[in-house]
Amino acid sequence: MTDWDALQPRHQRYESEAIEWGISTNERFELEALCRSNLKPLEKFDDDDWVDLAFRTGVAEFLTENGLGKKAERYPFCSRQAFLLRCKGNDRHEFFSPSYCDLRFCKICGKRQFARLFAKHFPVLEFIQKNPRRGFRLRKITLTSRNKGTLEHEDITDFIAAVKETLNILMEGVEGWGAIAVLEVAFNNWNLHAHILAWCPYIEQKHLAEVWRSVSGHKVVWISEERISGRKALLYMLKYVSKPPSDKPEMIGQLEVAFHKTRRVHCYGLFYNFSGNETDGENSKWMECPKCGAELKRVKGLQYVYQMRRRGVQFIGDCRTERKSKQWVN
Amino acid sequence: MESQGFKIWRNPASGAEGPTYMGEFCPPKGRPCLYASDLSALGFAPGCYTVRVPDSFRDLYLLPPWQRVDVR
Repeated sequence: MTDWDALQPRHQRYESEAIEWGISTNERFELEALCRSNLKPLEKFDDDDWVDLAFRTGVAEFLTENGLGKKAERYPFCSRQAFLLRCKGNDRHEFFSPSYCDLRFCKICGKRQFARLFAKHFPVLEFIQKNPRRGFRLRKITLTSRNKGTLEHEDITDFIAAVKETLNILMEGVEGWGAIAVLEVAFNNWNLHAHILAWCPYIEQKHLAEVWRSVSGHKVVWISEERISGRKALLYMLKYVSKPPSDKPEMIGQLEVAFHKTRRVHCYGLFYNFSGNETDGENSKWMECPKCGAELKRVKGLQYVYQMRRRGVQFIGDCRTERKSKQWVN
Repeated sequence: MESQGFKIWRNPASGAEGPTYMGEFCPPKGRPCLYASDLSALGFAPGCYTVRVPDSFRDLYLLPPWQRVDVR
């Protein structure tokens, strides 16, 4: 769990310090990341490390300029800071649990989101496999929009509403249908589109195109029957969540701004809330000491991972010997 | 125009708010970067410092934008 609210709004201080010291805001973020660097010392940085650092600070600067200062603070330090967990047993065992930025387009957190979403949505596909229906198949649908050369928040919300309305029109009177939609842009391209995995009866491509055009004003659609297993189809769909869609910091920053407070993955019909309330957050908390079983308490505040490693504090994930269903998502 | 000096910050101690700006310095003539001995000679206390390399030096000597100097 990430408790970013406990942090001070540092981005404002960074901006004023950057002016005072005669460096850019971007460089101020870099300095913060480097002077408290993670395990890898600056002298051992390779080209990839420099590229990653410049990329993350570039995104942070963009987010700061666009009023998302809190996100800007989190992004460059994703998984570099951690919470200290201390058990209440006699030995007072200590562990650290990294704090993640949880931004949608972070390459570290994207993979975590992928794992979480897969665990959440896989049960509905198992259900479908065990309960086949006459005429129903898993179908892949792609709905696209015109490329405007940029994306604003309203474009996203309008698009989501159009997808929902299109599916509702197409499935009017049909019972037991369901769908999961993932919003995506092409790599380094502003072409917003939705990949949809739908459990539904046959839909004619022409009819789909007509409905999509009348609802959204956009033209291009594509539909096919899914011939691979539901598991593979879901993996294929969600892979878009796991990868950042750009290597340009400004584009990642703009996407974060556009998607702010909006989900990338949406469920409809049977797929909606199939697994009940999300328990990922609860199950990912460490409640018991993995060494002695005593109650585990989180010490208030964040510390840097390298400092805790220096003190010999162990990463709690290393203590995980057995992963149970759903609990494997941290 | 960008300054030609190397800006230096003292790395924060554990729990400190942020780095401390120490000022702008140049390496001795003909030297592409600052060494720990240079910082000692300037009177810097033992500790870890982060140094920003100015653009002109980066281009001329193909240096990374930042360096870390440990003064012992």
